[in-house]
Amino acid sequence: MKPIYLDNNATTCCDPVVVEAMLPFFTEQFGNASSMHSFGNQVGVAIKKARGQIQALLGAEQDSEIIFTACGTESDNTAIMSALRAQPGRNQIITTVVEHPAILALCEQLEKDGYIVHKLRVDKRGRLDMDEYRALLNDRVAIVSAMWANNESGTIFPVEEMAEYAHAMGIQFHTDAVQAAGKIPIDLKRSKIDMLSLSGHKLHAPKGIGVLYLRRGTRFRPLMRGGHQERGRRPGTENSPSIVGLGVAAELAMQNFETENTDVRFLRDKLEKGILARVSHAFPTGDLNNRLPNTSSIAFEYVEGEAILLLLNKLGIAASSGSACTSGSLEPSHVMRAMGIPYTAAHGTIRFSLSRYNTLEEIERVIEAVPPIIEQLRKISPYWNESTHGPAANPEKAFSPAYA
Amino acid sequence: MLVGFALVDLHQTCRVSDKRLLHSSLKAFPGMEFNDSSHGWHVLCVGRYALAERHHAQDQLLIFTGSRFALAPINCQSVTKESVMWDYTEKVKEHFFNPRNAGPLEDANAVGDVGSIQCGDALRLMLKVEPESDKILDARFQTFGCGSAIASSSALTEMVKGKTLDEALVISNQDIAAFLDGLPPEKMHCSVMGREALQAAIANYRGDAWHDDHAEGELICKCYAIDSVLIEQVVRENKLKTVAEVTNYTKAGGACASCHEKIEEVMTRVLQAMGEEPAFAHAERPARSTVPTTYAPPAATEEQPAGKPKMTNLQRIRKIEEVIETIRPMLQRDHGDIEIVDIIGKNIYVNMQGACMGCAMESATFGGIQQKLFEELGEFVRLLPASQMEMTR
Ligand SMILES: Cc1ncc(COP(=O)(O)O)c(C=O)c1O
Ligand code: FES
Repeated sequence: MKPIYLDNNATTCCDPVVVEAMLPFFTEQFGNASSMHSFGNQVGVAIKKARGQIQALLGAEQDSEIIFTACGTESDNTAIMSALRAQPGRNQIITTVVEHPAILALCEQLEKDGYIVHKLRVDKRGRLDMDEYRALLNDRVAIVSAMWANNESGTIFPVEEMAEYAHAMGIQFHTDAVQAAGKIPIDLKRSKIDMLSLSGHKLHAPKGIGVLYLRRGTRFRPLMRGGHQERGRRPGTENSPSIVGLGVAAELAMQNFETENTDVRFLRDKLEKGILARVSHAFPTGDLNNRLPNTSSIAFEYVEGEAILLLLNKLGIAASSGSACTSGSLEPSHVMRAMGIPYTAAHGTIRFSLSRYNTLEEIERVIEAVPPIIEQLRKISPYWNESTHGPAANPEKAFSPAYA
Repeated sequence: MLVGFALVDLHQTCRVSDKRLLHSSLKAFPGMEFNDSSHGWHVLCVGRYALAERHHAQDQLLIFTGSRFALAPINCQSVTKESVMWDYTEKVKEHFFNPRNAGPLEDANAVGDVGSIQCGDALRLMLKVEPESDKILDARFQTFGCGSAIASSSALTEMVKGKTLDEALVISNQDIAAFLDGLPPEKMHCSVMGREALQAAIANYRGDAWHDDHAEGELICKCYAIDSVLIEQVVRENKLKTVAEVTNYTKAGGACASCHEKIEEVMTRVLQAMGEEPAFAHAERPARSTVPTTYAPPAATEEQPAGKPKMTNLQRIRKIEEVIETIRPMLQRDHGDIEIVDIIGKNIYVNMQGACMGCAMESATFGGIQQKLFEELGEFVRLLPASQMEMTR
């Protein structure tokens, strides 16, 4: 049976049209865009075109505001490090507890180096408290970094509004839009967002290519020093095949924007409703009324996520989990914990993330596949009572092992 | 004659050898081609991984790890495409997909509940013990946990059935892992949980109180599966000041070195709490280049690795020669050879000859020999081709 891929927030397949557009840049069009001869010149023209395509996707005012990087992580790191280096008098960062490690791990390191990091908390639906945010803004803050959409729950943050507040206080604002780009409308020229990160492999472009949007006039310091590529803001010979691919992918994303918000959303809703109707003691996580159209994160109580994934994998279904075990750490997903999801459920969260390549038949197959898997695992769970088909009476008490 | 080689994950190898499985699994490794009529394997290990070569006239596997250099059969049945994906052996998967003895045991008279919901692992082991003989007549489990937790529980029930309580008590977590042909380092705690459940169940039967004395920290070194608790303990007890010393005591950091930053963080935390400073706090040069000299031998037990007294220069050179000599026969079988050119401080310059030169095994061979030297000498050394002598001097 054909495998079913529902892990598009982790990475997406490269669109065949993208691949085709890239191929000549490995062979005939191999030139260095900086060279004076015609080999280089044609590549330069192609890169310029791609820059325009990204500009259009993001609604940026200038194409020079688009800087190509190697990935979302690099864009995130560049944004934060630049804000700190360009404004030495400011030593505070505001971010959120649910950011991707590309931001959180960097902030952890910066705290060790003496910077002050404020992490905004979220409520049980994953939403921010805007009063808490506004109270934190002060003239020692170098940058606010908040993700546009969360990779695990799909929850969308009001970053445009947040950027207005930051701007009013003269504070730079960065958003990690790696998950948002192509799925929710972005029009940067109408916003006060100074920097934005995007990653190619999340929107059907290849891996290893990313973008940092940098609003004209924003004080900036490059992460690396070197040649004049990307106007010295990101030195290093351009990854021309991937840049061309990303340009095409951006154009496809605009064409498919409607599809993402109608067809994909329909499939996601069908999947979520279908599973929840058949499995008891399971609930969706995140801000259900304000989330990415492709993402459904479901917590299955009293079972463990990695075990679910292994059994799904056996049926050819790929999804991902917020369980501790899949990451090799002992704590379950920081996003689920931040939302106050109890441990008995946090370890059993499964994220289904769809794309425009998924079909109704696939979704129906997954709806059929999930309930028996959960049932099978609950049968052997000490927190579950098979005879009542419910959790063991007062599960945390009925089974409270030594060493906790 | 070499006809092929494959990468083998050492964490997934175990003592029992099944040649047929070995062959099929090595074949399943992507990009491998083998001639089935012969049955000799030649394995070279670097850190956690091994390069396995197949030779004709040899019917045993040659294992060369950092600590051992011996002819021994190994079971590499885990090397399939899928286990690369999940890092699980076939046996783990088999016990996960078809767990034995799962579900409640109605007339259990020994029950052990262990684990922690925070960690995402919890296990209830239920035994039916015959009072006259202390024999375990039946065993069942209920587990909340990942694939390897369920497989470890299943394995445990199979292992204890028919044993007396005293026989069962000698089962170690390594025995559970070995029963499953190995567990990935991140998942060793699943086997620990199995052993604890067994102790707790037996304590419950005998009316003793059972206290968990096992604390588990963050996994620091993946190559050797060493957690922060052990590192904290050796640093505290022995006032270790450099990463190299920690490596000598625990092995942590002795292979790929990617955990050195984390080790330094643990050390800084512990030493600062003791009012001490790590050697790298103000070091101009990386801490590992300081010779781990005058530290006292490890406290009391002989189990602690290394902690060897410092050798004289002459003893050191002899030792290096000795190690190289033990390796030469293996290289000569491949029509290669190795020769020491010079030893300058931590750098040992050698000439590699013949078939080893530039072959895919060369860098792996270097890494393996270096590891071996490093284990034998109890200090960090670098093995370098003689051609680099001018450059680094
Ligand atoms: C929200 C978010 N930010 C950043 C990244 C990192 O992107 P990349 O893999 O391109 O470095 C990801 C991808 O996992 C992500 O989901
Ligand atoms: S993780 Fe490789 S040496 Fe520690």
